[in-house]
Amino acid sequence: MSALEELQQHYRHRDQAARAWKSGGGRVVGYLCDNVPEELILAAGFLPYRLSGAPAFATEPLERYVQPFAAPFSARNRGVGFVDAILAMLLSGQFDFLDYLIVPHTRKAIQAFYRELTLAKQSDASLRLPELFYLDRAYTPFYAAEVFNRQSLVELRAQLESWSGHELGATALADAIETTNISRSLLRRIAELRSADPPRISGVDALQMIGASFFMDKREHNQLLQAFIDEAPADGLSGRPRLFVGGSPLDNLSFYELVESCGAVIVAEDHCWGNRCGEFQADTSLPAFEALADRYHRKPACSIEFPMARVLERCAGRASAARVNGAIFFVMEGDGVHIWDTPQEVAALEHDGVPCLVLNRQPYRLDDAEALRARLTEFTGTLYE
Amino acid sequence: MTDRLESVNTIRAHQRTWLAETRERAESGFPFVICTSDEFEEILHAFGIPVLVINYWNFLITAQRKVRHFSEVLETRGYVGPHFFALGLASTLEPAEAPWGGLPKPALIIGATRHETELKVTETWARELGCPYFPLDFNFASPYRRLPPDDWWASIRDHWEDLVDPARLELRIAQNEALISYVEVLTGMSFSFQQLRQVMERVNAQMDVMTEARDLIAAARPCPVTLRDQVSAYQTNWHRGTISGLAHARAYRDEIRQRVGDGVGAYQNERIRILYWSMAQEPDFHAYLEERYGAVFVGAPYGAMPQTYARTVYRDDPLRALTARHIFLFDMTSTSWMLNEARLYGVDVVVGVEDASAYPSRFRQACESAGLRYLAVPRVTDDPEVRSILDRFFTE
Repeated sequence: MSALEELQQHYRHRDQAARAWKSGGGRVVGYLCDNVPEELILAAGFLPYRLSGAPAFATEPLERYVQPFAAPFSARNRGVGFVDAILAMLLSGQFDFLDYLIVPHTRKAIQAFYRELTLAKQSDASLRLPELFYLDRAYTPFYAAEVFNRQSLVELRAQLESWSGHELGATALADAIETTNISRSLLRRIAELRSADPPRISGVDALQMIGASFFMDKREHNQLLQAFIDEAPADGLSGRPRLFVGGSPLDNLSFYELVESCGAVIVAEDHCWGNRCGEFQADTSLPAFEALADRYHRKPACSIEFPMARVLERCAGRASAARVNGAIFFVMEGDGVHIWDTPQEVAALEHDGVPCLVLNRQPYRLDDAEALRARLTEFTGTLYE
Repeated sequence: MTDRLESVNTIRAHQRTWLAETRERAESGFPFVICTSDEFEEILHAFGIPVLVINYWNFLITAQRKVRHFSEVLETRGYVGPHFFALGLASTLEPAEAPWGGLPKPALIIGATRHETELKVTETWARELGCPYFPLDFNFASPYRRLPPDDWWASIRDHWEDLVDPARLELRIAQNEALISYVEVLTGMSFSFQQLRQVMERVNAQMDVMTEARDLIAAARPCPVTLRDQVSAYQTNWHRGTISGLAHARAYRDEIRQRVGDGVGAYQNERIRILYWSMAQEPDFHAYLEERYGAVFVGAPYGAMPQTYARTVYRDDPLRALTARHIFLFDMTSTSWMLNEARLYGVDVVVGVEDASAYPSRFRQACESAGLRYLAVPRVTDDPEVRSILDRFFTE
């Protein structure tokens, strides 16, 4: 099996490595979103595992366990499909290999996991749910928020020490940082191969290579990535329009497969399952824990960031660096972050001469792929001209 | 239905007058601020700076049935729905249709983090209007790190410190102090501890008066105040802690007391008493329910909320008590709070707004366990499908 095939297998069978780790006596710490410091989990001797959704998964458990009280004061802000899917999968035992779960202060619907899972467990003691920890974070970039965010990590470290039963040492932390920094640098190398002219990796393959890093042992993932880079094909995907994808997080291949089946290649993106995962290296000139605290504060939660100009700047920068011919923004129904970012990101890209296609109110599960294909084919067709 | 309460008409008229005066003063250079509800109003009241609460303005746009128009304003700019929180933004982008002549340009918009959308909308709003922006972290509606007990409402006034996360409280105090300093620099005005202390005293007094009003309404038979007037009277809350806010609340309470003494009923045909447990607007089908079944809404969370705004000030630190309220005001998912209100009003039925589900909500379970009938409606419009749900329920 090639390195790429192994990575693809871990992406498709996302629980495979975690279950193997568990059966070997290890413990698994799950987390949500892309700004929980995996290094602390690694250094504590656990397997970090990032939760993702599955578009085909029925959301029936949400109806059963989650408060249906309607807007505007719903405990759960409904409507973002990938969030609903993850919560439903947790409630139905799909993540039964998790020992612990870190719920970060990101989107409100993610924050609410802590409450929803706690209340669900109270109402049904037979539910098998991991022990929870709420990782707090202020959104603002200011000094008081930095102090607060650092203290949140102090509490996370203490929680991990309590779970593991031993002190989390500086050497273990430095080793973990080295591992994740290598991972990020390798992911940036993948991004370079994608944005080469012609691109040497498809968007579909890249998404799998990036995503697999959250579902398996990080060091093993680094080895596979390095092996892939060493044996990456010299010839590229020439003659195809180079596309950038923005908008909602895409934790599965459906949309990328659809776009690339229309003859284009996705060379970069701006969402939390793509190239962003290689960004924000931890600063190794700082003491290990402080490097993580610094990174935790600097790295925005999702695209929830002030000022918004930084979000726009990063989006335009990612597209520009990949020298794209066009951009597609895929915004899921009810995505309160990207509904507001996207029009301004589109304006910035169009100002730079990048044609954009905006797909608003999209479902998490692509039920009407053929209608979407027609729009994508029409758009990519214009990019050949 | 009886005539509207005179005190409520005064409150409604005051809102228009206040806005007109605020607009006039803002046009002559006096500061005016926009912020989301329950974030910073008391501090601005202590400054003497008029503040428009976004949520209130959005509800006003909704009540004037201009949601479609302002949603289109947003859609044409590429902002797809849901739009509720951004209706105010839309009303300043194209102010021709804005309620009551529209809003003046603010000196400052305070950013909200109640939901990620609110942070984006408020910053976009400030940029569109070319005014400064100051975001704050955390809010009353996200107590997910420290989950409040179901009976939080019984202890929140005195034991508020037990209900908030200590680290969040300290951060938010620091942010509030920073924002106070920013407003001082921005406006050239000085903040006064004594003013804030008095505002907090008036807030507590005003909330006690509004709770007395709720108690009078709940105890009286027949119900002396329509839901419409109860919701309208809540507008005093947007001026809580001001001298006029307290005066309006007292006039409202006194007029209710008079009505109760006179035995005046708000509805023509009160046979079934309903608690409306939702923050959504008064249901369009209310008139249908009264006419067809004699079923009337006698209470709503708006009656219960004032008690959640009151805070005992300890160690001469009104800012700490107020800030704790910024990060936990109330939790609408408490079933014991709803049941307490249902008992106070002596209702036969509780109506909630819920998505259709094969599983009973916690509210339904709580009501039915307490021997109360519970009706879930999917929306508040008066349409054939909703009427069939109502008919089925009230003819069972």
